Amino acid sequence: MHPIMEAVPFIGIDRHRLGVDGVGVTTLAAFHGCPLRCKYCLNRRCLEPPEGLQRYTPQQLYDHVGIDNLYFIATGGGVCFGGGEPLLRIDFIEAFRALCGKSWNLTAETSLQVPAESVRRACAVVGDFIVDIKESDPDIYRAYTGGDARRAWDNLRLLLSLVGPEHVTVRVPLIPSFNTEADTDRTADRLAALGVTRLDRFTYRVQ
Amino acid sequence: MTHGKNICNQLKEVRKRIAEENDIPLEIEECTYKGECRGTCPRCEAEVRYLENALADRLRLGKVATVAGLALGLAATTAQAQTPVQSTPISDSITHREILEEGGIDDDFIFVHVDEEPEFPGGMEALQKFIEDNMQYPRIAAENGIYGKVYITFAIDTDGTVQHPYLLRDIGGGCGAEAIRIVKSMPKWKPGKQNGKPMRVQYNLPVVFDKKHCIPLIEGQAPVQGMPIQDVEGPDLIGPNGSTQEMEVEGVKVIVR
Repeated sequence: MHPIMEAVPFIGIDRHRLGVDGVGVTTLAAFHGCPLRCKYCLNRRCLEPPEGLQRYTPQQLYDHVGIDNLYFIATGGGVCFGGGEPLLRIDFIEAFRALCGKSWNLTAETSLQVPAESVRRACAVVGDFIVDIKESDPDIYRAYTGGDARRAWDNLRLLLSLVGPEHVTVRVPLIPSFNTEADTDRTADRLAALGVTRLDRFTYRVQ
Repeated sequence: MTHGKNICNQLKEVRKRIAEENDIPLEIEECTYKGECRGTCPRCEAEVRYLENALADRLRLGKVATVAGLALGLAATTAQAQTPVQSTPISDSITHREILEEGGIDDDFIFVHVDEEPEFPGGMEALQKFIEDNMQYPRIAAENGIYGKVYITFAIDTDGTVQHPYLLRDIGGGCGAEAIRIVKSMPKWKPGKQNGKPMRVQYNLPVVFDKKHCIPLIEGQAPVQGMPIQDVEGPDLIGPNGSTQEMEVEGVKVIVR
């Protein structure tokens, strides 16, 4: 049983997302806070001070998103935790799972830039993972994100061993000015060698 | 079709499947909400609450209520971006009972079908007479040739009090607000009963706005298809969960409380 948790900041909650953040009708709950500093970050609000953001306890979020319970059950959908980096809030996700039971599918959209222990704990409560692996070349990864690629890839191996490739989708972006198609091909090959079968390759649009 | 409208249509299909699978009468019509409805306009939301109540009703009557997996794959086939992500299928055998046990639905449920239906004092004829006698045909509707049926749903409490009237289908011109006003002015009904015990019952009622009240149009003038946004003074609409928000019903700005 989790202790009573304080409310944590979210940069947004978006209902009725279809086929984007997991199968079925999904509500995206985007946490504030991220360890990376991606140059083309879509959700920069998660990096700014959290003042003014809506805060929820697990119970409050459960009550808030429960309005779509019927849709979740009928379509196999549920809640996708994104951000920001959701696995930084693994306490929250565990408490949320305890509240919602097993009827909802929980998805985490993660860079895996978290301690391995957080990944292990997430595997017990999250059904599907969408991993934003970004790049396999450590230099490109650091240039684009400011982070360490090795940590993400080590955690990806751990994740695949714990939940199996059928529950892991890996996003491989072509990042203008940072990598090339040859780089993304190499990343895709490395992922295939690890047993990844669900690849999502796309190109960042820079405006 | 906009992205929002596509979502609205997909969610409508989910509701339709739930209703069909569980023999729940549900009038599915095109959502006419003027804004970017992503299945979040008051009417779409009201249909979900109606289904929840009807499913809870089935369980209370000892029937099976099936929801899980009814629309598996529906959303995935309409993905707007990126490769659809698959997840673990949920067994078709899971019933709605599981939802109830896990706290997804309010215990304060409302029956849809009972042994003894609730009854307006004097019966159906008296009900129709009450509506006709009390109707104040909205001026905007009369001037713009708007007529037809407004569908309204409300609960009749165990003491016969009419509660929470809510529009299922509006035709605009202030007709929805007028239907709400009429329902709210009704006297107490004879409550519905299950096994001899008064029960809270959901009741759907069509309210007819007759063409005869419309001001004759100038020859050759077509009825107005789209209504300008105008504030309507009068009764507030009541949301399903006591929520409050402004909304636009068929071009008429009203308050949902």
